[in-house]
Amino acid sequence: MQTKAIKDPQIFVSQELRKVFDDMKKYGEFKTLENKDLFMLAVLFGYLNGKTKPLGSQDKTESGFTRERYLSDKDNAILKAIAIAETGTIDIADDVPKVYAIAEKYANGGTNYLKEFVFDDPASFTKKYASLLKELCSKRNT
Amino acid sequence: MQSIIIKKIDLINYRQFIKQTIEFNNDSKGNIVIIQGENGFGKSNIYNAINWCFFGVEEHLRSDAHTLPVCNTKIFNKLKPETSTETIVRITLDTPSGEKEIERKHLIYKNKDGKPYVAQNDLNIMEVVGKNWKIAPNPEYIISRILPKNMRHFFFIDGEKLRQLFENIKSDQIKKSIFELSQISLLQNATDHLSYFKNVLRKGIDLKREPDLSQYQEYLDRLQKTILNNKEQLVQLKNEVDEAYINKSKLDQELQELDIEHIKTLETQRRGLEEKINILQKNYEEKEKAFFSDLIRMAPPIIILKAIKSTLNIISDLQQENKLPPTIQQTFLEDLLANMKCICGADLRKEENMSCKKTLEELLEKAKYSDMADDILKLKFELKSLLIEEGKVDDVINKYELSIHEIKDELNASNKRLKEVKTKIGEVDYDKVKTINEDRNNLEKTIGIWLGKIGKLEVTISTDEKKYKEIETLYNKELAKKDKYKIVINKLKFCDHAMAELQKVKEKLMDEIRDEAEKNTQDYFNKLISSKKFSPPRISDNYELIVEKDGFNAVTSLSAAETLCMGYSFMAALRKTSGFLAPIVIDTPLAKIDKKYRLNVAEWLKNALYDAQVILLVTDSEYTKEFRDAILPCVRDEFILKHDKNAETSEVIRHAN
Repeated sequence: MQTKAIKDPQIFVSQELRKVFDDMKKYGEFKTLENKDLFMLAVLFGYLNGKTKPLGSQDKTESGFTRERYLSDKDNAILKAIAIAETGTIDIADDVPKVYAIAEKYANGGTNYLKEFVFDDPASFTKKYASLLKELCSKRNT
Repeated sequence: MQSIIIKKIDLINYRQFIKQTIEFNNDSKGNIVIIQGENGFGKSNIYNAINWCFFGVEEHLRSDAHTLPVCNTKIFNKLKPETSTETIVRITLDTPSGEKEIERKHLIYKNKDGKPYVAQNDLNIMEVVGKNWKIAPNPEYIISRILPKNMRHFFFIDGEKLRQLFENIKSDQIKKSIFELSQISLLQNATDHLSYFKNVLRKGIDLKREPDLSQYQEYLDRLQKTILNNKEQLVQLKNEVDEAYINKSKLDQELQELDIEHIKTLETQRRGLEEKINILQKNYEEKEKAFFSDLIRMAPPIIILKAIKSTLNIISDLQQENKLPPTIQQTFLEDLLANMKCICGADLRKEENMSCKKTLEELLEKAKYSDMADDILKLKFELKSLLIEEGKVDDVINKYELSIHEIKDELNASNKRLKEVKTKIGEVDYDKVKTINEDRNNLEKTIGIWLGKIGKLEVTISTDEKKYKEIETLYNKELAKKDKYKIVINKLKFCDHAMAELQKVKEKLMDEIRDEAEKNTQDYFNKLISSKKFSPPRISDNYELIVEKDGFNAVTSLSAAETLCMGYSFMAALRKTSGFLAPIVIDTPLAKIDKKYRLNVAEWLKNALYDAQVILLVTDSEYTKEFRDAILPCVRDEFILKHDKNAETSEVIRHAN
């Protein structure tokens, strides 16, 4: 449980996802997003589609895509909730590297979904994303 | 008396007509010919073609079109440099003196730079002499006997411009119209002939034997030559000034049609709309940006709602089962144990207090988990906040979407309006406005110069005529001294007497004709307009056209329709009074006439112009069923203009009915 010794851990993404992010940053509002926002988006797409994919060893050789210090409390809460839901234990919340490892798997798993969603028509991302969220809201109400 | 009738018009390579023959029906009764067509289909170019053939001018052209050759533009554009093309307008007339064919031909040459110039301008009239067609020797003279060039505006009428022409008509132009149309020039010719005859009489005297007379005669000859030259120049200048005034009126009309004030309003609208669109566009972009970043911010709790709920359930279960470690301050316990002093003050070193020490040590062990408890509580708080946010997401999205939709709608509407305004502005040719203004200024300058010259010439002529009379008196006195020239003296006196009588007759005739023209104008005008708002039109002693209202001349404040009716009345009156038999061609005769007067015009056409061939060039909106039904008994022919937009050509075809 004493994992807090790792100070400001890094968060890694696959090379493929990194390339997707680079491409996304060429379009409109994506230019304004920070790396941690992009990472969170990928995690969400992975989680939404229930897809995880562990990072390869080659993915961790590069420097991290973002770090803990860039994440807000809210971001951490989201990642922890995912990790707790995934493992079914609250203890994982205290193991930040594990929380991030699970998040990295989801982000990696969400690569293709994100890619497809964004690059199908980057200009209409907001419209599509809003409609997706509304659909989820309506499902939640039913 | 039989009127002059246009039997046929041939247009070859003229404007949008490639090869067109319009042959009027001779068999049917009726005097009215209808040529119907939408704007831009070539009505005005038929009107232009008739004017061009008769007088070499095109009345109804846009100012920029004057620079274009009369031939078809596509044909000209296809010409290779240094080659030429021919444009012909031929009008076949049926006149009381037989058939005549007026043909005007331009040979248009394309120079090396691709620019056109008229290499040859021919006017020929063929006429039937006996059984043969022959070329008439003086075509301009023949045309002037059919219709003098200066009077063409009263026979070949541009309905759109008649108001302008009529508003600007000067009293001396009315006088001149009456003079010319009434053929009083015949009396003037007689006076001129008598003057010439006096010269002949005087030249019969052998001046070598009469040195006293010789000096006077030489002086008189010189003066007469000067006076004649100056009079010719004066006539020419006056004609040019008349033309220039008409052209100036046309330019004014063109400017009026461009409506500068309207353009300014449109420009203001355009600027306002562009500013509004800029602001709306910025608002739209900012809203989209905010929507995007809020979506990014709001999305997680919706997407991971299941995970949040499950985490909160786990935490809640742990809390209910008291499995969550209590919040204990580790440092505080460590301090108590280090000092071996319990919170109650008991010394932990003592044996009897060992149980307290043990309790503190157990609590310290638990405290190692108390950070985790903090984190879990914090996580619970964050997740609950996320759930609250999640509950508001669809509202927020709906608000954004509505607001963006509204901005977009307003933006689209503003863009649409801007496009309309820009189209309207685009239709205005600023170069055209500039060109018209320049042309107008040049015309005004030229008119000013010409009027100055006219004034000088008139003074010179009047002084010379006075001088001529003085010298003539001296001459006559000298001649009277010589008995041998008694017969010549008597003949000269007779000529003077005859000339004075002719002058009286001319003045009397002018008065009579003016009265008749006035009466006819009144008759026609009353038939066209039954309004009692103003007095019947009058032609005053100094040939001013007067329509009195409240004691003032209201001729320039008549409505468009009233002015047009006045113009038609005056034209018909002049025609009737003068006996000129030329056909009447009216382009857009009803364009400015209110519906309520249109049937009056139909009646007037039937009654006032029953003896003239009347060619009406009408738009579809003018030639309504009601109007057609009204004039149908007098309609000889009906034609329709067809236009091929791609080929930019038109053709006139006979109406199916």
